[in-house]
Amino acid sequence: MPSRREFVRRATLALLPMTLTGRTAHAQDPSRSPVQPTSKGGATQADTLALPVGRASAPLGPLDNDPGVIAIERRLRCTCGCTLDVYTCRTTDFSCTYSPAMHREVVAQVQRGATPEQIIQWFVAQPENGEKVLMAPAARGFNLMGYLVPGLTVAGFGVALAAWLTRRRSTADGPDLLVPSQAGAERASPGAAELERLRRALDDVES
Amino acid sequence: MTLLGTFALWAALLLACWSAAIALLGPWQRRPSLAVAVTRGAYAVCGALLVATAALWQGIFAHDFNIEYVWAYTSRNLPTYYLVAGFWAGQKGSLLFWAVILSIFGALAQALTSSRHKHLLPYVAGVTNLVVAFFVAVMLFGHANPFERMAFTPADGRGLNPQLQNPGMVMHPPMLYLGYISITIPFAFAIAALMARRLDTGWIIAMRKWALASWLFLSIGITLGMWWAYVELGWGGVWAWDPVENAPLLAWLTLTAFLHSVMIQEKRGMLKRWNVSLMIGTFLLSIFGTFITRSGVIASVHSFTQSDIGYFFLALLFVSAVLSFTLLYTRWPMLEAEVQLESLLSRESAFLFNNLALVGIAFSVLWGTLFPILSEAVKGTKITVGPPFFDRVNVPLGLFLLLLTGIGPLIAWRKASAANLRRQFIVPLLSGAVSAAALVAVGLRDFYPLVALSLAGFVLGTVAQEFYRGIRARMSLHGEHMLLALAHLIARNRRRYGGYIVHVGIVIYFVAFTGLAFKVKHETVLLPGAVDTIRSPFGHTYTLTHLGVSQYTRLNRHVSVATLEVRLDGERLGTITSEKRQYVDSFDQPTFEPATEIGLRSTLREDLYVVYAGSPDGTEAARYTIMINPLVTWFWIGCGVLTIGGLITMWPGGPQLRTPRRRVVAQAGYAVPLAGVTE
Repeated sequence: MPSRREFVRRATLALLPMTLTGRTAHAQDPSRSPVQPTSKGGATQADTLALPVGRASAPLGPLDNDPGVIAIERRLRCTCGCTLDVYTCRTTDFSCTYSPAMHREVVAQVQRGATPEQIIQWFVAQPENGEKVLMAPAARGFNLMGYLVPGLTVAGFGVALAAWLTRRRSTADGPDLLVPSQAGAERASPGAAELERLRRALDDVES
Repeated sequence: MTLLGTFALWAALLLACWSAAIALLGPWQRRPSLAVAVTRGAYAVCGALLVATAALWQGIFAHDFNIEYVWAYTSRNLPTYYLVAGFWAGQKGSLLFWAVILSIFGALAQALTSSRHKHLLPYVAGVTNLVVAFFVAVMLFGHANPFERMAFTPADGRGLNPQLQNPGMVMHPPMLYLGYISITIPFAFAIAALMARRLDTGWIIAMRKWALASWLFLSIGITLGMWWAYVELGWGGVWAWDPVENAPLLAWLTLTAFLHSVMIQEKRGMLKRWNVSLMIGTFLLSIFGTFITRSGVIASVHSFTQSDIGYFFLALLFVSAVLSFTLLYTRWPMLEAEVQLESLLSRESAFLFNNLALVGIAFSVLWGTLFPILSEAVKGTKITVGPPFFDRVNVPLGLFLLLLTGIGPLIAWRKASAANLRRQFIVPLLSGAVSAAALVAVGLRDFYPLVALSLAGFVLGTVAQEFYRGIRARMSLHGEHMLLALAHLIARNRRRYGGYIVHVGIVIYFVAFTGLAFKVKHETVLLPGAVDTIRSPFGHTYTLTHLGVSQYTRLNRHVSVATLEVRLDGERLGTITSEKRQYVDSFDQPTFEPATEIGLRSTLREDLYVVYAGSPDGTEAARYTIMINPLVTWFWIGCGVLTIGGLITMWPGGPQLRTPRRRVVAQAGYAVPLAGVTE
């Protein structure tokens, strides 16, 4: 009995002519055909498919799953405009060509012995990138305001609210709290015309 | 039909402008018959826009590709349910969708509002028709007419974006639109109350269910968006702090704050100014969200609806803000609180801090969304504000909000005594402490997850205690069975206990978000028969065997599908597949970039999430991204619980809202002198 791998291989070979003569999928860009004449990455020629949908995937690199590389890539934004970080983009949007290139650069620099900070700064220093290549701005200078303003605003309003509530409580200790404020009651009073209209409406209802 | 559609749009525009002018400029006050005409104007606008809607759908289902919109978003081989979704898939159709839904809501507001509040209805019709007129005007004057014809008739349409060909996308946009759109109705009631100078609790009672419906639509719409992002985009997450994701969240947060603070006005006659301000702010944020979505002024992954018409919305935002806040300013003295706060330790105070947390989170999300623009204006350099920023700023605020969710129901109205606090807090605090101890015992050491899950235990303790006490009281007073007591308890106090169920739903969301912090992910390339393993955060091991890649064709796509056999701790669970799809038109020509369909195996504990990235060099080897996402199913369960709670809260019938005597004495406008008259 053939192994599963052997079975799949035979089945693939048997289906190959049918697949070739049948209706096949089209890559978005015909100049970038997913089918390559030779195989790499440990796959044999017998594994070759007719026309799998999409671009060919690169073989797995030695540092593709490296936590250090991933940590760096999570701090870098893919420059394709997808708003994702490099790691998420290269493992998600398989049509993107930017994040794989950035990943290769990160891996190359890691292999050359660069520290994470050096790699990050290298990307920032590229003229086409600048600070926007970072997923979050460095917390210094003007950017510090970005981090501090929300927390300080909420804390400030919280302190002010607590102080206001405490003051309201101390001033409210005297009179009966269920009595409306005088000013509010006065302003709430309707005019004579409105009163007359209400009287008429009430008469209508009662009659 | 396009002529009929365009004619209907013009009719709707003229009717809406006429109705809004009569309603808001005031002649109806001198001629009561005009008030009737204004409200009937709302029905007429709705009728005209329904005709336009029918005309566009007719074009879509008839494959009339001479209509530019039909050509751009549908094709002959698009399945029927996606033809339906084609209506709102693009800019022009979604504008018509917005206008028609708002006109329907406007008509329903006229038809369903109690006669007690009929003095507000002409103003409500005026405001809603003004907003409808804006949307129709954008269509007619902003080069966004969905009935625009082309100079020639293509044989087939371009089809729907593959990422939109997902059941979630059939439901998510309309649900979110329903949320955004229905916010206009409570806003219209707030403006009506201001214009009519009837600033008692009447407008709140009249619009409360609309506000709840908006909130529910937004909640479901946001969650459907999370689900769509999770199953369709292939990155294994539900929330990326994208500006377009943030937009509905902003409105949701302020609307949630409103639904809490409005209770203080109903019960104590306080926070009137704040409530009107919150409602105006919520409406403005809904317009702001639309501006962000459609302008492209801020980089977003949601690029399929961007165009120049965003600036129409900027103008609407500015004009609405100026007019609304000016009107509020002129009515400011009439909105004075009827009573004063008695104690810092009161439910009113807790609700105020709850509002502070909700509005604070909304502010921080808005700040983060706009900070790149501010930075560019000040420093001249572009920056990115992504998830690390939002997580750092919002996680502490979110936990503060979760804490308040547990505290609020425990504190008495007006003033809580020390004995009351002890009695109320002991069980929830124990629940939180036991949760924390159990989590530490099982080895959880991460600070934020530990705090989040402990607070979840605290809030659940609060809700359980409230239900327990209510059920026990009914059982002893009425001799009811426990389940009957539960049913009666909820039925007779729908707002209170529906609200608690909503709180449980929110807690479940927090737990699910916490679970995602423990996500595991890696990439692998497997030849047929090759095996990969991945260990879940719960300690289990998944063994995945690549079975191969096959291909097939469906109605409008060619598919390559990669299959993995899944074993959990050695036990065979079955297979899981992930696809790459090339969508084609009816002439077999590719229409979009290839799309990826994930493979998903969900349990309550965790999701096995597989993405087929392609085959290296055309071999049958497959490159996979494999993830274990803990607790994701709980997002959808949380949404279900929240929806049930929301429906209970807004279900019609039940005990009528009674106006307390205090309010009769203090109510702005009528009550004081009338009491004097009747006495």
